[in-house]
Amino acid sequence: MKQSNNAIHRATLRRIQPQLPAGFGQRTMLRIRRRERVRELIQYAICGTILIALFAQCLQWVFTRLSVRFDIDFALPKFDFSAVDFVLVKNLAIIAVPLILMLLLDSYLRLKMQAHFLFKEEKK
Amino acid sequence: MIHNEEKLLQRIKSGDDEAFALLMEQYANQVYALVVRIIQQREDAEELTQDVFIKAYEQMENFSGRSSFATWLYRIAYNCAISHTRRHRVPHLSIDEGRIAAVRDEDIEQMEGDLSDHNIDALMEAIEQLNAEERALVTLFYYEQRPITECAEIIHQSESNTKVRLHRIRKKLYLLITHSKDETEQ
Repeated sequence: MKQSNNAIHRATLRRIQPQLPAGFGQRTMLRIRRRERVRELIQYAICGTILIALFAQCLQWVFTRLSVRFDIDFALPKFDFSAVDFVLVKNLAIIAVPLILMLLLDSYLRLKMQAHFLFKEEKK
Repeated sequence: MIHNEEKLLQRIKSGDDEAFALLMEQYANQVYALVVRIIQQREDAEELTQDVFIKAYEQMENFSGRSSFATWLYRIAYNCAISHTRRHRVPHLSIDEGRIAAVRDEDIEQMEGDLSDHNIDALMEAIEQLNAEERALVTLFYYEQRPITECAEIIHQSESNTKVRLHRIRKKLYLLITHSKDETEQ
C-alpha cells in the first residue's frame, strides 16, 4: 500500500508540525561555546595542578633525597645564631622559589588562554 | 544538497563552528519534531533538541560517514528522547500480548485503507497512547517516510526486528481504535 493512501500516514500528517522558537540556533551555539570554554578551563586547571605537583615533588627530592648543597662563595650576612638562621633561610627559599615559579606559570597560562579566546572571537 | 553537506561536515571537522550552525539550521525543526512526538512535551523538547546538537557537535569526530548524517543525527535524537522518557517514566497503555497476537492481518489492512476522517482522527489519538519507542517508530516510518533500513539503524534493531515491531504497532493501533474502552492504564 502506498504511504499516501495509508490511514496511519495521514494520521501522522494531521498533527501540526511543531516549530522551534526563534533564536534556537544562536542559543545552541552559545551553549556549545560555553561548554567548550569550561572544558578548556578544566584542562588548563588539571595541567597546571599536575605541573605544580611535579615541581613540588622535584623540589622535595632536591632538598631531601639528593641533599644538594649550594656552596655560595660571596659573603653572607653574619647572624648571631648562624645554625638557626641557615635553616630559616633555606625554608624561606623552599617556599619562595616554587611560589615565584607558580606565579610565572599562572601568567603564562593566562596569556595562552587569552590568546586562544581572542583567536576564537576573531574567527566569529 | 548531499555534496554541500559533505563540505559542511569537512569544515566542522576542521573546527569551523559556523558550518555546524548552518547544518543545525537545516535539521533543527526535523529533530525537534521527532523529539516532541516521542516525549509529547514541548517544554522539555527545545532543551532536549539543544542537547542533541551539542552531542552531535562533540561526537562529530566519531561520525564515520557509514550512514547518512541525518540517520546519525536521528539516532542521537532517538537516544536522548528515549532516555528522557525513561527518566520521567511517562505512563502509557499496556495491552495483553495475547490480544495483540489475535488481531488478523485483514483487519489491519482494512484499518490502513480506511481514509475516513473518523478513522484518521481515531488513529491520531491511538498513536498518542503508544509508548515512546513505538511513537518514535511510527514517526520515522510513517511521518518521515524513512526506509526500514534507516529506521532499524536509528532504533538500533535489525531490519527484521523493525518489521516485526511495525507489524505489532499496527495491531496495537487496531486494538486501540476498536477496543479503546477496555484498556487499563498502567
